[in-house]
Amino acid sequence: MTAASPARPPVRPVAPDPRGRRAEPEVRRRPLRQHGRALPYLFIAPYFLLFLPFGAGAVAMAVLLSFVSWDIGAAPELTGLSNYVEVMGDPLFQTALRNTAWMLVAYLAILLPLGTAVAVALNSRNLRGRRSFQVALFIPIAASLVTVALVFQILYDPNIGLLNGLLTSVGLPRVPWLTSPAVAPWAIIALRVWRVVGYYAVILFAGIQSIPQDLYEAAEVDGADAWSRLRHVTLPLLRPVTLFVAIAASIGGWELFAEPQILTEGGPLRSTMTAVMFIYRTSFLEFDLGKGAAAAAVLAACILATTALLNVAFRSKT
Amino acid sequence: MATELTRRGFLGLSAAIASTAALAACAKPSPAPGGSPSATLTGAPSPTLSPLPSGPLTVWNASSQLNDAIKNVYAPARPDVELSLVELGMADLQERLLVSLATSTDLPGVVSISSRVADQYFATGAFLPLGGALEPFAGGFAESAYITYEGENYGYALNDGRMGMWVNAAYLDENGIDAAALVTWEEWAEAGRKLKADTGSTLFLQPTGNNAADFFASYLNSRGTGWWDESGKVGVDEDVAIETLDFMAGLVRDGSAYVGFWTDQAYWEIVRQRQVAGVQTNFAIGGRNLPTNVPEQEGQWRMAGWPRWRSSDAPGTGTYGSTFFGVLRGDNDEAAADFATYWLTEDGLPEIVKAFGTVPYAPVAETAEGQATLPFFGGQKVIEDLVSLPYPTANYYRWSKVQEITGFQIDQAVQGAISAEEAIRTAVAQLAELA
Amino acid sequence: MNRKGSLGAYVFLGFGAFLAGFPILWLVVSSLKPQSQFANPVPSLGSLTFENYVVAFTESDVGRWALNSLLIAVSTTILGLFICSMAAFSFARYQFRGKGVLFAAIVATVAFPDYITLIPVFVIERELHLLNTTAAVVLPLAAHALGVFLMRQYIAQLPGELFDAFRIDGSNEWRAYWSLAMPLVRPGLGATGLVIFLAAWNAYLLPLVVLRSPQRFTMPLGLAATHSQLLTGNQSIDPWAILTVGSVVSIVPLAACLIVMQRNFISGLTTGAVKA
Repeated sequence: MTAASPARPPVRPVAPDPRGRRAEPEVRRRPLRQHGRALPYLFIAPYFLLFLPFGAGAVAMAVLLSFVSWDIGAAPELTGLSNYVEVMGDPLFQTALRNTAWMLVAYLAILLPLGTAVAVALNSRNLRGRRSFQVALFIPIAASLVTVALVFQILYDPNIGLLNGLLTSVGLPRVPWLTSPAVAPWAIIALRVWRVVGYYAVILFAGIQSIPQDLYEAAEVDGADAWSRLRHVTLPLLRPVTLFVAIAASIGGWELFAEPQILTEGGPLRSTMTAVMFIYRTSFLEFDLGKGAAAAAVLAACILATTALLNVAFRSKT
Repeated sequence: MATELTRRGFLGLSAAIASTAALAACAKPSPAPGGSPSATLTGAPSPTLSPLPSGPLTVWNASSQLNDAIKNVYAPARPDVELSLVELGMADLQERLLVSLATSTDLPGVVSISSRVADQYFATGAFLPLGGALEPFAGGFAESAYITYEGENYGYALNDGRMGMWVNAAYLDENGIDAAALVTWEEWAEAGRKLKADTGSTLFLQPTGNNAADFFASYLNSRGTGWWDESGKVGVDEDVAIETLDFMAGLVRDGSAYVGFWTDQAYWEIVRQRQVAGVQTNFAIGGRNLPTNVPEQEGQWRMAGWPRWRSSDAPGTGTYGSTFFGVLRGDNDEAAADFATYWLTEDGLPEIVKAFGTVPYAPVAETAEGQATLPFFGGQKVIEDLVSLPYPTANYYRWSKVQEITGFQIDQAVQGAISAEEAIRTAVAQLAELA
Repeated sequence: MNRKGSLGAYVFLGFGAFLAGFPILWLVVSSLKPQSQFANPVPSLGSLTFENYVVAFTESDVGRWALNSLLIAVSTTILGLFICSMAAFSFARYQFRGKGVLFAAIVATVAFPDYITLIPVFVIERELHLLNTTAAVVLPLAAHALGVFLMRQYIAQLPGELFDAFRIDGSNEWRAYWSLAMPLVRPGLGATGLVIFLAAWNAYLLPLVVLRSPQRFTMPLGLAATHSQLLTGNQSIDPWAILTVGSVVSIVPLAACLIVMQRNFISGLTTGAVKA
């Protein structure tokens, strides 16, 4: 990382604040005379041109769907909140939501520290082959999910799977990876973590790379060791990106679908039944689009609540 | 093997049942696709439409091998039909179909559907009854092989869902078990226990989840019962269901059942290693996938019919369900209906047999494929043997929910977490809430 | 970091790379096996062959799927990076009426899985006559909600004085965005580009319903169709050949995208001007 180029205006060094708060007032305190009133809207216009129909519009229609009863082939009829009542009272939905919630917590608890650790490791000074490591770690998410699921299905196979083969070769008993209700959720979580940790690590690493080198140098001069630099420089300044990763991962966790659908179909004994699997089966298998939409709305509320919670937890006062 | 007379006799019986159905079908007002069909009984009928259909036709098909037949056999036979073929997995097809049905957009002319979930599709009113189009072929079908809904005939089972007990008879022989001598389920269970004790291999299959529900339903319909009766109410013989479920749980307790499914990626490898020496399955899996995936065991396997519950029972079997071609109302109903029935004609029938192994259409037993002595099965005329079993009646209604509810109870009972009785009673109670 | 720390990093990353790469390595090796001996973990090196690739490309549609996917992914990424970064620039730097609501609306839509917005999007595209076009997949995916969020995080970190200095020089706001902010947030662009590319490449449900003719199918659709052939058995081409080849082929553009993003955006940039 090179030093600042002399053509730029001089910047005053600022001691790193552990909470990452800037000491400077910002543009937003200035009056709005610097640009036309319409300008901010012009910048967001292209995005909203697409977002309004395909993002907000689609979601609004989906929420509307939750208030109707629709026999395919006939016209939909408004039914008020009856879909919501039905969904909340459905024991399968309750199971699905419960499963999804606990699997999410476990998933985040494993993914965030692991991803950060990998990103920090990637940031090691003088690391050779950094690019190759990144590519290797990125590959799991690059491979098609269908094929990955097949590979893992074989890996997890109780009889001829590689994992059990390794275990038995050192004298350990076979593990019923996908056939035991206690183990199967963990097997799914492991697959998900395997698939995404490199992806999030690359994003976190990009975040670490944005942290200016002088801060590290200043800390070193102050006598901080590697661990201390990590705690007081890297992690705090990484917060905005960590927040993004946490939110993205939590959304992925709430919306867990493809892995359990392909590997276990929600079994064994509904232990890997997730909320989106419920939505899928209600909408696409049972043809109850209204009820599926209601379930999706409930799930969305859970996701938004989690996002708000994470926002508070990772608040960085930028 | 069972006597020749019995097999032929049952073939005749099926045909008799079917011709009664044919007479009933003739009374239906649905328009015929054109031309003058001639009613035939046995032999492979081949009514020629004049003129042949033309115009655009979109087909969504889920079977890859039939795609080859569609392109190479059907298309040249219908040169004026502009065929547009979409090939996807069944689940993907059904997702696509739902979106098209809900929005009435870009519906195909013909689509592959699983017979188990057909009722939901027919309820949309978008499908075309095929009663008249199927008239020429009526002689060869058992009534239960038709896909019906509210008295109308919407199609026929493309593949034969009838179940057989497929065993590696050579392996059993090596271990002192004579597969040909086993008649009742209890005798088979005993053989399974012996095999497990001597070799550790399993003789049976026990699926889980949705597959367990379908599997169990095939046992029920082999015993003349099922979750629903014809009127759509819960009508299962609970004692029969409990006895059956208890038996299945027993097999798993004995260790003589492979808990999993024939679609497990490792399944055929386990078969190859002879850890699995038997499987209850339909013809498509037993008669086609098995020889294709485990060619090294050629000559060792037999299709041993379907065991009986009491030695006094008549031979019978269950059906696992099938796929069929649903015809949607559209701009080219004539070509669509013709496509759906093409596979029963003299030219189409061999292609179906090549793709699916067999169809529940009596004339198939007379075709070259149907008469084939399969070397993989030591020269057994497997299709003929399978086709000789009567075609069971199965009522599928709200099947997705049925799979969820009954699959869960079956899994619990099979694992020993609850008793078979509790499982059946709970399932019945929950199903009754649906009706 | 001292050398011991570096060694720890090497071991950790090496193990991680092995775990990450192993199943894929297995896939690559499988794609080179002469038959589907998938259960045989260690084939002899001499038996490896490219025949699966030849078969897959000449007799199946793997090549077309790859091209379709590539076109969609690249278009979505370029369009998406533009509109997301522009919108993010506005959200990060300006105050305007409705800003909070609009941003919240964007984030809120992420909470809805695509299964539930599928039919609405389908209907909207039908009305706009977009069905069965590349745009049918590109347009919804370019408006990537998390992309705006991520870019905003990066842009918000840039200090105010930079922009003040820029404005004193008399430059307009567009140049503030294009010439000042964008170069400084290259890591963000890289990461966001990657996120969008991946979403577009792996998109499955939307293409399944909006791409009506098989010539337009993307790689995930093709591979899913092949996967279902595995279950039914008996095909003219061994589905494993197509699946393994297709998967390996899929990885190439994604790895390329990562390398491009990396080289140009993520590492080796002037960071001295960026201050906390």
